[in-house]
Amino acid sequence: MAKQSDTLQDLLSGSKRDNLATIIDRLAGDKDNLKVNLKNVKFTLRGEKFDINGVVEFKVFHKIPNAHAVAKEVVEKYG
Amino acid sequence: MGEASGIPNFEGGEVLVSTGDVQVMKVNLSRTHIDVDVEDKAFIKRLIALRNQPKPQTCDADSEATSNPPQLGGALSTARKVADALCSRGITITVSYRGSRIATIGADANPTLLHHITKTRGIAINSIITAAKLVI
Repeated sequence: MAKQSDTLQDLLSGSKRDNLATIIDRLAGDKDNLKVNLKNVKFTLRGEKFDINGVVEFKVFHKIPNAHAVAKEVVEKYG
Repeated sequence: MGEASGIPNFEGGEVLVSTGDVQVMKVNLSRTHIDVDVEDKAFIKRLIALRNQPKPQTCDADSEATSNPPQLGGALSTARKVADALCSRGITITVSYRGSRIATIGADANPTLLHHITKTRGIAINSIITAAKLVI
């Protein structure tokens, strides 16, 4: 495992920028890029009136990343 | 009344939820109604799977107690409390799948037989077929 981690580290340090970004993205696991668009949402909370317009973007992670599987695949592909 | 308990009183608006270019959910808000229309069931199924996923193990002594899976009795009890709270405030939440109403919770719910099981008149299933379409 230690040897494999070293190989991955070597690979990451020598990777091109695109490859590195892809690998980091994959290490993050399965996710949805969620976008919530609020249009004229008006509500009262604790005596205060709110009127919200805008878009909120965030990521919802559905699966715990399997770093070992990704590392193995990357090493097999590039190593 | 809702303000006192920390629940906002909605006056109007619309919330669109999307993943990438796919719209997954649309929520219409008004004073007395919150209409939730699900467009993409795949996302909802992924969320349900996420909720059922076991939590990461910790060294905390209470981890065994907190890692228990959600039980039907607990979910029903929570749903009953929510329904009763909505009824007392005159608010109705409707859940639809692609325009077909699945369930109504709150003041406008008119259950035919379900209230014998749920012990509240605040939860009604409008279409079991549409509900099945959403789940399958």
